[in-house]
Amino acid sequence: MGLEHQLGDNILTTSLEWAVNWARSNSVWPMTFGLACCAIEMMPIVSPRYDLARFGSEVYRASPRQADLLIVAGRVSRKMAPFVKQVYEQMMSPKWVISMGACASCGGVFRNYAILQGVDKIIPVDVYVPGCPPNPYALMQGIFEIQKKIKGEKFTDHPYE
Amino acid sequence: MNEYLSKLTDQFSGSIEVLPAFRNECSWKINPDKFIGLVTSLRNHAEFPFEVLFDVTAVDKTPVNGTIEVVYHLFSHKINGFIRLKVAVSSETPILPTISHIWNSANWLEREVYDLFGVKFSDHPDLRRLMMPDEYEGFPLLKAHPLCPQGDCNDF
Repeated sequence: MGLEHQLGDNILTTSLEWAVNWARSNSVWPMTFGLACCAIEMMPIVSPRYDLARFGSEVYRASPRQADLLIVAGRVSRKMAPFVKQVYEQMMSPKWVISMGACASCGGVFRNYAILQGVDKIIPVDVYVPGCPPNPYALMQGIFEIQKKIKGEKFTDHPYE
Repeated sequence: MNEYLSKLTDQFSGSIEVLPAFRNECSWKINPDKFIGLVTSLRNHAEFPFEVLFDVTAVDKTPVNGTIEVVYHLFSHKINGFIRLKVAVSSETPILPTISHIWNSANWLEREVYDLFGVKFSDHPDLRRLMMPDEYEGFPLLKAHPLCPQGDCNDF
């Protein structure tokens, strides 16, 4: 945003924070990034049946520069891990991460040499959505949790990187 | 057994050991020395040329007899039939000649076998890992390879 820098510490800060958080929480744009079968469950959340547009998150951005939310949808292999991290680092602050499904959260059934045992080993995760794979409604609930989290945030939670 | 298979078996009977057929698909066991000569003559066979290399894979039989068995699946359009070749190499020095100059598809298939089983294909144009990260140590589909070489699977 940048508004908070120009305004400094004046009396408007509290309400500005509220307004900015309101705007941010209702325009959480996810990154177009699917890794496995969870991506198939992630796609229909923007379809007419589930219609995430009602909550402002329907715009899947094809560039990490324009995305606010990284949905890690699927198992992360050790070979893919550096690229997941790179995508996360390319996203502009503020940014949030949903770990979708059992594999992204803890490796799921893939307890072996090839799969990262949870994406939280390489990037910070805000919300874990359980399931194998989670229902699209469950993923929407995860996005609502992100919205709740955003509404309680302070400007200082997101230092400019 | 099909007619063509009996013909081929008779023709190459000197250099192969015929394994039991399964659903009309025959398997031959070959000595590594005779391997290149045999696949070349199968590829350029006058009557039944095997134009397609369907798959190259391997089985780690180290606990049984100290070998790694590399399996080749060949297909011939002419007779719409498969042939399966099994070549056993010793686990200590798993080296086979490449066949990527005979079938181009062997290039990546051999890289995969090298990646997962550590079988080296001599004269291969580009023998790098295919699926595992380049810096990975060990060959994960060998029986001796631990399920989680990083201990608890949790160190990254």
